[in-house]
Amino acid sequence: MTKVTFQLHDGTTRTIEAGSDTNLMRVAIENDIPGINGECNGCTTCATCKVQVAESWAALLPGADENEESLLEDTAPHTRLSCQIAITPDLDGLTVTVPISQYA
Amino acid sequence: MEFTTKMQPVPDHVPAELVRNYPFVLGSITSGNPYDRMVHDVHRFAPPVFYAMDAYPGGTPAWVVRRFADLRAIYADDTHFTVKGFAPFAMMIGESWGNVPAEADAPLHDQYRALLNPLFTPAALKKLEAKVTSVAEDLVAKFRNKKAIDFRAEFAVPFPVSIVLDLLGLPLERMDEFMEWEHMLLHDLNMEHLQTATRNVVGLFREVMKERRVNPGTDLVSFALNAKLGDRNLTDDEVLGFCFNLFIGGLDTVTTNLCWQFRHLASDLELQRKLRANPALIPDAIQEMLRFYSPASTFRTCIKEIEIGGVSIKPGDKVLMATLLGSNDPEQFDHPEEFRIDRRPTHLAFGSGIHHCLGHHLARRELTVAMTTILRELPEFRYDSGVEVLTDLGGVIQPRAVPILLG
Repeated sequence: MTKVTFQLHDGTTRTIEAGSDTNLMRVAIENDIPGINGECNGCTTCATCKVQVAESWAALLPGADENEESLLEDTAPHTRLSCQIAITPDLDGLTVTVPISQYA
Repeated sequence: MEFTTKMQPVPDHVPAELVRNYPFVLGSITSGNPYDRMVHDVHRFAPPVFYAMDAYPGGTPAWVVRRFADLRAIYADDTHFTVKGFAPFAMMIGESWGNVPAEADAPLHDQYRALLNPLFTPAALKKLEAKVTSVAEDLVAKFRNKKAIDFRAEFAVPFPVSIVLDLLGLPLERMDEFMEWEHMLLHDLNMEHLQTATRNVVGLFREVMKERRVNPGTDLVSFALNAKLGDRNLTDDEVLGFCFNLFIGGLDTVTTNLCWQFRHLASDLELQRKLRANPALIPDAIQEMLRFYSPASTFRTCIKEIEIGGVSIKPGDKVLMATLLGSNDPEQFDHPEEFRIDRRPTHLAFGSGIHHCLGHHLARRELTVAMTTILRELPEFRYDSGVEVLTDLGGVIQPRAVPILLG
């Protein structure tokens, strides 16, 4: 199990034990994390599953590909699409911040 | 499959009690607001999956799936369902091209999207930002001193349509003619009209393709003519399918959403004031409006038997993907009939899965610019409920007018 922590816009945090063969967006949706939509269901088109990765983790994640990059225009540093973050054991302890809205 | 207005018999695998009336079929009209009651009544009275004898254009039956979770699962399922041939257009005129990428399955679909997605990313659309804003401002300038307008005719049509015509490199002067074709394609039950309009659009693009082959420009038709899919060019049918897809997807859908959004704003003055006081709330308001007024429906065809909601769907069966139903499912959304600006919902307005609307970033951009510009430029406006307005139902649910009183 890989523990991942979501910091929510209301100041609370939720820590989830995520299984394998999934991604961070899916974990968020399955656990009703508010603020993550995932409209396209992980097809890297909608950009409605953005999270901000804690700085200490940002460099440890595999980088964003060109497709993901093109959807992150004008976003804060270390913003990623959570559907593109595959859950692996070495992400144990990953912390991300969830925005109040994916549409602002 | 054939087009006929004769009702077909109920197939043996369809239980009689599941044959129900679907009130949103193409060709139906309502004088009320279908999002007030009609859509919620389907959820109140119909089983999760039911069979409507005329749900597909031309009196062809289809399953209607009303739950968000089931619809989302079908959008993600290319084992049991295909998108091939869901639109009637090519078939109606005896041709065989498909809408690109809407009617292509994986893996070809994914190659198309890899080619086309970059055209419509937020990064790519940034270049359009100034243009989109100036189109909106110019249109508002034309009617700002009037007392009463039809918002549909004065803004909701010309705003997105001029942007898409510009992207395609088509002449703005022919907008009215194109919109008439568009209306016949999407809102008209008359099969001859549908055929005529399809032939007109196809003829237009074949002509344009011929010309752009000789004189390529920076427009999307020229892009498609010169694009490489791996080591090959797109075929003429693929380029045509891409153009046709943009024509039906880009001209009418944003118009429709603008109609509903401004009808809503003009009827809910409290919300209008709230957004004027705090424009930062506009994107969240639009997101909730996209849910509330999801207008479009598409189809899937079953290719492998599957059970959904206790119902067995067989190969060859058509399934209606009505975004208005999924986006208003009470099992997914608490009191879907209530507009809640802080809901920030995951709706189905743009579909879901690999076919999630190619142009949705452009659509959102246009909707945001429209609302921001109009709330900034115009004083409070009100809906004129004294005017009777008919709404066309079917694949795109659109009111024929949006009477608004200014000043």
